[in-house]
Order: sequence, then structure tokens, then C-alpha cells
Amino acid sequence: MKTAIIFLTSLFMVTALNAQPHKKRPLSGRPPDMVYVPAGLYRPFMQQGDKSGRVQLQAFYMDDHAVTNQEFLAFIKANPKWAKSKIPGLLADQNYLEQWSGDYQIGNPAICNSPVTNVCWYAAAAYAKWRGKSLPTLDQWEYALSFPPVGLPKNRSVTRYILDWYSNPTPEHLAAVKTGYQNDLGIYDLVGSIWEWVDDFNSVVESGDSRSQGSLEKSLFCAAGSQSAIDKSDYASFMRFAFRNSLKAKYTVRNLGFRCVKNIN
Amino acid sequence: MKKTVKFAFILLSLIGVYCMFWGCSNNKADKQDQLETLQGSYTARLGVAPLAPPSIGQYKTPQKVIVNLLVTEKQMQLANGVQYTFWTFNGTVPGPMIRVHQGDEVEVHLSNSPNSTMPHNIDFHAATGPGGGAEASATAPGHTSVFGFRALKPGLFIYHCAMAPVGMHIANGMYGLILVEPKEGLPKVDKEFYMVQGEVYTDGKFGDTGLQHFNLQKALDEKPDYVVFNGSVGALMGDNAFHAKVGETVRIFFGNAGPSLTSSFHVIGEIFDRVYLEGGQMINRDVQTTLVPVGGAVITEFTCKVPGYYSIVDHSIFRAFNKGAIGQLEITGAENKDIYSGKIKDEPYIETQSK
Repeated sequence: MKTAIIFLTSLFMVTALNAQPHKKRPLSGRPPDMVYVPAGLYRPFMQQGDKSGRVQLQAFYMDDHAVTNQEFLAFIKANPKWAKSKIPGLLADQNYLEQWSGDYQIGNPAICNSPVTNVCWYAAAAYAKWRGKSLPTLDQWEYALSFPPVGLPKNRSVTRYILDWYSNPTPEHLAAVKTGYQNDLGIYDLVGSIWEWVDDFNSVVESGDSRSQGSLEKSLFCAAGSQSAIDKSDYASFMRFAFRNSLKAKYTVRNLGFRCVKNIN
Repeated sequence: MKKTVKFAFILLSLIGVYCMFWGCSNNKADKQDQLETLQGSYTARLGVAPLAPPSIGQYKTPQKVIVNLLVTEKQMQLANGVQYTFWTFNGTVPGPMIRVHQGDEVEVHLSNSPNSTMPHNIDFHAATGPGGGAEASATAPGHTSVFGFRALKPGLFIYHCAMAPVGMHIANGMYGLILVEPKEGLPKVDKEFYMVQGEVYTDGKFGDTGLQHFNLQKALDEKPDYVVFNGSVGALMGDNAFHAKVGETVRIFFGNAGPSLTSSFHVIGEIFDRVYLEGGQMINRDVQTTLVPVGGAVITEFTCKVPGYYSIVDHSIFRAFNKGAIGQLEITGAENKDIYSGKIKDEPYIETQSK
């Protein structure tokens, strides 16, 4: 079994190098519904500029599930300026919260506990701030995904799991959170249900440095520079990076949601 | 002395002639770069395989041609009892065939369905510009991108999705053809057909029923389970075969999307009268089999003379008979025994005794 887990992990894009992640888990101070992600080294999928080697990440807390429609409704009620009819077009495209029946109604009990989608980056970031949290950085998110899965059949790698998920069109109703993929930290649904915003999904938003974005684009489009990927057969990662790169902060997508992290001082 | 003068004279005149030609060709290049002004615009009528788009008539002035494409990801039949989640342009594999004139501007409106899991884009081999439009057309689910290119060169060209991972987007069905007709137009024929060869890499073996998933390892090994014409096994067989009559001229627009295998395009029992090699301007005559590279295309023309069923194959023949790369052309009409007798006799063969 241990061999299988090692095998599965090695198939995946980032390599978690911390040998015993659980030993450093603090006993107290963990916020509710969050999971402690221990410090460790991680190897980014895209080798860019000076980020050539491994990256050291500090420990942080991550939501154990993606933010649900119900949870997001609470945010909207407390912050009406983010309601469907009030949000400026500059911050969200017209499909924002399209699945809801009104500004303060979800209108479909089947999706209350499903991940909220059709949210723009601005609203996701505002929600995180309101909760005293933040959106995960790309490195934090990918690092969290590098922890081994729980309960996958032996012959099914994480990459395989992801490719199979992608090969099915988005269902009409997304499944409730915490019903799918789980990793050994206790984080649910990082893959298998929705894509998730990360804070630095696209360097345009953060740095405005079009050159660095340009170089990422080159590595995602036909041939060009896919040499910068650490594992050229890791199609699941290519897709994730291509997806993020196709976004702008005001975009909303039917299968794009988010979760939050809390950094530990 | 005399010899040297003569030599110098020849040399000088050679240089002169060279300069003249060099000057000429340079002027020509300059003229080509000065594009004619667009006069008017219209929305392209697209051809849905196996039909090519209708003729676009005589070229007069360059037009803006608007091409609307919608990307959808949907389950469709790959073979009898076999389903596969294809990624499509306009819901079909191959995507629609586009037809414009040399000199036209193609304005592409690429929408990606809100239900898509993936971002998608499009790379036109007929375009001159970075990525053939790939960067300009990268489109998240639920969005539309618009970009344009001038059809500078005539020919038959592939278009395909070029979003990472490119090979998977192509294998999943995101390709089609665009015909850039020369200004004088292609000669008139009686029938035009549209077909594209593509490979599908599945977890199961050829014919394993149920919903099949994309198999990454087989793709990397370039060992497809399916090599198909127009997206599925049997898409051009039986009721779906091409039809023509004796005496008619037929033109096939054939593309090879790959993503891995070069095609040896052949119609069993026909000889191509004319082959526009690699879809370009060079025409070869009286060809049995023509090689079509991945990401390439060809225009073939022939005349129907003898009625019957003709198989259209990739002559790498195991692909035809074991992986799906076979279609049919049914020619109806009067027999012509002078050209083809059919079986005249069947009699026992009797070995003659040696000694």
C-alpha cells in the first residue's frame, strides 16, 4: 500500500518532499473547517525565470472544502454590494452567480451545499478577506494537491483521476462538497468537481508584468515553450495551467469556484 | 586580352540580368504586401462533413468573412456501442469546413460553451501570424474571442485547437479544414466531399463498448486504437457513404489532423486525375496514393466511370480494416464493360501433369 502511494505521488506533478507531514501538526489553534498543511518543499510545474529549483513553503491552514453557495450567500447578505444586481460590470461578467434565482436567494435547494461557481476573482478575494483569510497562492494550492490521495484504487493515478474527470462535461448540478476526492491531510475535492481560483492565477492581475505572462502563454500554446514544464507528460497540470491562463479576474465560469487559506504567523 | 574582355562582358551582363530579376521580384513582393481594401462583409456558410461548403462564386473584391464557431464538449458515438467525450467545433467532428477567397479577411468569433471544462482556442494553418491565432483566440468557458486574419495564400489548410495539452485537444476532435480558393476559383466539378482523418486513443481496445476515456500512455506512444474518417467508425459507410453518378467529376477535400500518423490516402479502384499536392498549388496527375502529413491536407479529383462501391482508405491498411480508416463512395449508373469487364468466367483450375 505504501509503495502504491509513493508510486501515485511520483506520478503527479509536484513532489512533496517532507517525509513526515503529520508530526508537525499543531494540536490547538486550528480554525474550524480548515486543515493544517505543514511546511515543506515543492517543485513548481512550470519552471520560470529564477524559480528554477524547489520552493520552500511555510505551514498554512486550508479550507477542507470549497466555499459553498450557502456560505457565499452569507457573505452577500453581509456585503450587499457584491450582490448580482449590484456588482459593477468592471468586476464581474454577466454570468456572475448565474445559478442563483436572485440577489439573496439561491433558489435551488439541490445546490446549497455544492461549491459556489460563476464567481469572479474579485468576489472570491473579497469573501476570503471578509472571513479573515485569503485566496491560496498558486504554489500553496499546487502544494496541497501534491499530498497523496485517500481511497483511490491502486491502479488509478491522480493524473488519471483528473483526466477522467475532465473527459466528462460539467454536470448540470455540481455534487455537494466533501463527497469526492480526498487527500491524506483531509482536504476534499481539490480535483474532481471544480477548478479553483488562486490568488496569482494570472500575473496580469498581480504584477502587470506582461512579459512574464507572455512567457507563460508561450509555454501553454502550440509547441512554443512547453520545454519549461518539469514533466511533459503531465497533461493534467498542463490543463490546469492553461485554464488559469485563459482567465481574467472579472471572468465567471460555471465550473470555477474557490477555497481559502489562512497563513500562520 | 580578348578573352578577358569577353569574360568581363559576360559577367557584367549576368549581373545586370540578375539585378533586373531581383528588382522585379522585389517589386512584386512589395505589391503583394499592399492588401486590397475590404469591400463589404458576410457570414460564412459552413460545410458540415461530409459536405463541403457551397461555392462562394466569382471573386471580385476582398470581403470580410465572419466565421462563427462554438466549442462544445459532448459525448458522441465513436463506434457501434462505443461512446467518447469529444471536444468539438460546432458539435461535429471534424468541425465545419470554411471556404473563402484568397485576399479575404477571415474574422473568427470563437465561443466556448459555459458547460465546457476546458479553455479552448484555434490555430489556422491558413493564417500568417503568431500561433495561427492560437494566442489571440484562447477562450475560457462561457466566453467569446474575436480575431481576424487575411487569407494571403490559396490552398487547403487544417485548423485545430492548440490549447495545452495540444495533442489531447486534437485527438479529442478539435480540427477541420479551411479552403482558400485562388482568385480565379477552382475548376467546376459535379460533387465535392469533405473528410478529415483523426486518431482516438482509448483505455479499451478497438470495439470495447461503453464510454471510453482518453488514454495518455497510448497517445504518448502514438498508438491509437482508432484511426477514423469524420470522427467515428462507419461515418462514411453504408447509408453515410459518398454518392456520385457515372460520368460525374468528384473532388475530395481531405485533411489529416493526426495527431500522430501520416496518411496514405487512396481510393481503391480509382486513379486520381489531379492531386493538389499537400493542398498547395502544385498539381500532380494520374496518382494512385497520395501522402498527407499530419497537420496537412490534399485536394484530389477524379471522374466516375464504372459503377459500384469504392473504398476510401488510409493505405496503411491495418488502419483501414482494423482501426476504422475506411469510407465508401457509391457510384451508380450504367456499366462500362470496355473499361472494366467484371468477372467473365469462373472455372476449375486443372493442374497440367508434369510429364
